[in-house]
Amino acid sequence: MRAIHVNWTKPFFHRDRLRGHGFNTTRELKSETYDQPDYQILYTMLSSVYWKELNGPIKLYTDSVGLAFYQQFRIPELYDEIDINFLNGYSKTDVDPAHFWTSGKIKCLANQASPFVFLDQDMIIRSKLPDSVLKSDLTVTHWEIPRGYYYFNEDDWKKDISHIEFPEGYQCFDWSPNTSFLVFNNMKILREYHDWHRKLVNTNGADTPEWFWLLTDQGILGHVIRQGDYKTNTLTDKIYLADSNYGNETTRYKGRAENWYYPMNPDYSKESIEWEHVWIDKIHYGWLPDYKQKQTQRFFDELIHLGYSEYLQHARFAKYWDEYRSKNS
Amino acid sequence: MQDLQNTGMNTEVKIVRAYWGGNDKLKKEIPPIPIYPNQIVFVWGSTNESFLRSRGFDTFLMPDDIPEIYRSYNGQFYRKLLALDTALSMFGEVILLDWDCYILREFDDDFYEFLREKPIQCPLYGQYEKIDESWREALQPGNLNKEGWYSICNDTFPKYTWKLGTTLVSPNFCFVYSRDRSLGKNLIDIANKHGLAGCIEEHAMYLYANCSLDDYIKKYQPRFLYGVSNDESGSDFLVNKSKKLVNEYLENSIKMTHYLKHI
Repeated sequence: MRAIHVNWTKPFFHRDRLRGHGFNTTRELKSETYDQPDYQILYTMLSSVYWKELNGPIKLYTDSVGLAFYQQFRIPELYDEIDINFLNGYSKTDVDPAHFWTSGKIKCLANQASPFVFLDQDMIIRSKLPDSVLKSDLTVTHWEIPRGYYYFNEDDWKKDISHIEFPEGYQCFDWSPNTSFLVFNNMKILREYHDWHRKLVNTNGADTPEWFWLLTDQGILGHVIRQGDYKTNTLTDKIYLADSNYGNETTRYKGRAENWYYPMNPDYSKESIEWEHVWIDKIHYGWLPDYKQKQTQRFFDELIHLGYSEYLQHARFAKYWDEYRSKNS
Repeated sequence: MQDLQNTGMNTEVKIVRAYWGGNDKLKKEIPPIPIYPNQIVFVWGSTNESFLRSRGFDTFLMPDDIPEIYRSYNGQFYRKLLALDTALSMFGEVILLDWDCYILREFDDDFYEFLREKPIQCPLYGQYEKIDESWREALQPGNLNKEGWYSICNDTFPKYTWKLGTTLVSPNFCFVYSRDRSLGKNLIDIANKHGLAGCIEEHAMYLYANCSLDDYIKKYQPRFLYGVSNDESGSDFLVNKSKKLVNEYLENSIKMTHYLKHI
C-alpha cells in the first residue's frame, strides 16, 4: 500500500514558540538554517527504507527548504515520489506553524484522493503488515487514555477558546487515537477530519492554550470516528496512558502508573507486528544525552546492516562511523 | 484548497548551476526535482542535458569550444567561469551555486538586503598549508587525486591565497553572487593570463580581488554563508581545523546570519 511521509519545515523557524513537549531538542538547536538532530535524520531514513522494502511505495511531502536539507544526505533517493509545491503553498497561509506544527501533515493527508497510509517519520515498521491491519475505515497506531496536561474538559474550552464553539457531542474522556500511523480506507473520514482541523486552526489571531494543538490533530480525529461511527482498527490493542509515572512490573504492587495497558480480550496476534514509534523517547533524549547517543548509534548501525552505508557519508556522521568501526574491528 | 497554489520558493535573483562530465558523485548531488523555479543549469554535453531535463531542470547547452588546456581534469573548473560569464550576459544578476551548496532558509527581505550590500560576493574558506598532506590524511585513498590534482593544488594554493598562521585562505566558488556583468569575463581573462590550473575559478577570484584578507571580507565575503560549513569541521583533521579557523575569523570580522550551507 502506498504511504506518505510529511516534513513541513516552517515550524522550525518559529521554534521558540513551538508547542509540544517532545520538542525541547528542536528548540535548543542553535542553527539559523534548517536543521534536525542526527537521530531524526536517521530514523526518517529507517522509516522510509523499511516501508519501501516491506510494504510498498512511499512519497515525501516537504517544502523547498526540507528538500534541500535532505539532499545533503541523499535522502530523496529513498522515496518513490516527492512533492514540494503543496507545502510551499501551505507555508504562504497564516496558520500559526508553531502552535499547529502538525497542520502541514493534515493538509497533506487531505490532499490524497485514494486509500493510503500515513507514517510519522519517527514511526518505523519492521514487518510486512497483514491485510487484517489494513482493513477497516481507518487504522490508527493505538488508542491513548487522555490524562493530564494535554487533555481538557468542556469548562477549559469555554474558558480558553474563543474562535470556535465546543464541538457538539465531544467526549473529553473517551480515548484519543495516536496518529503516528494512519491507514485511510474510507476517504469520508479524511474529509470530515480536515474540515474540523481547518476550522480549529483558523484562530483569527486568537491565542490558544498548550493543549489545543493536540486536539486539532488527535482529539478531533477521535471525535470524527465516534460521530460517524467509523470502524477503526489499531496496529496494537495496547493503550497508552498519558502522564504515566513510568511504572513497571517491579512497582506494580504499589500501583505506580505504567505506560501501556491492554483492554479486556485484546487481539494478541497483533503483537507479532514489529514496529517502533520513537515518539516519547525523544523527551528522554533531551534529559539523557548518553541515552540519545546510544539510540542514535542504534539507528545508524541498523542502516548499515540494511545496506545503506552509502547514505551515511555526510561529515556529521563521522563520529558514528568511528563508534561503529571500533565496535566491529 | 484555493490557497494551495504552486508557490515554490521563488528567488528574485536567477540561480545558476553548472554541470559537466559524467561524474557519479556529482550526479548524486543533483536533486530529483528542481527545488527552485527561478533556476537554470549551464550544461556541457547533450546526454547531460537530457538527464537534467528528465528531472525537470531548465538548461542551457554550452558550446563545446573550451580551450585545449582546460579540457583536462585539472582545468575543468574553467567551465564555472564560462557559466558565470554566460549567465551574467543573459540575466545581469545571478547567484552561481554548487550542487552541494544548500539554501536552508527561505530568502527573505534581510537576505536581499545582504545581497544589495556588495555587488560581488564569494565566501572564504581555509586549507591547511601543506595541502597534499592534509588531503591524504582526510580523504579516502584515490579520492580526487586524478592527474596529480593534489600536487597541483599544493603548488597553486600558496600562490593565490592569504596566509593565516598555517592556514591558506581562499575564495570558495561554491557561491558567487554578482550584479557586475563583467565579472565572468574578467575572471576568464585572469585565468588565461596567469595560466591557472587546479581551482582555477577560486585563484582567479583571489587575483581579481587584489587586496588584503580583511579588505576582501569587507568587499566580497557574504554575511550569510561560510565557504565550507562547520559540519565539515568537526573532526581533528588538519584540513577541518583550517576551515574552522577561517569560519571563526569571519565570525569575529562580520555579523553572520546564515541562509546557506556548503558541505
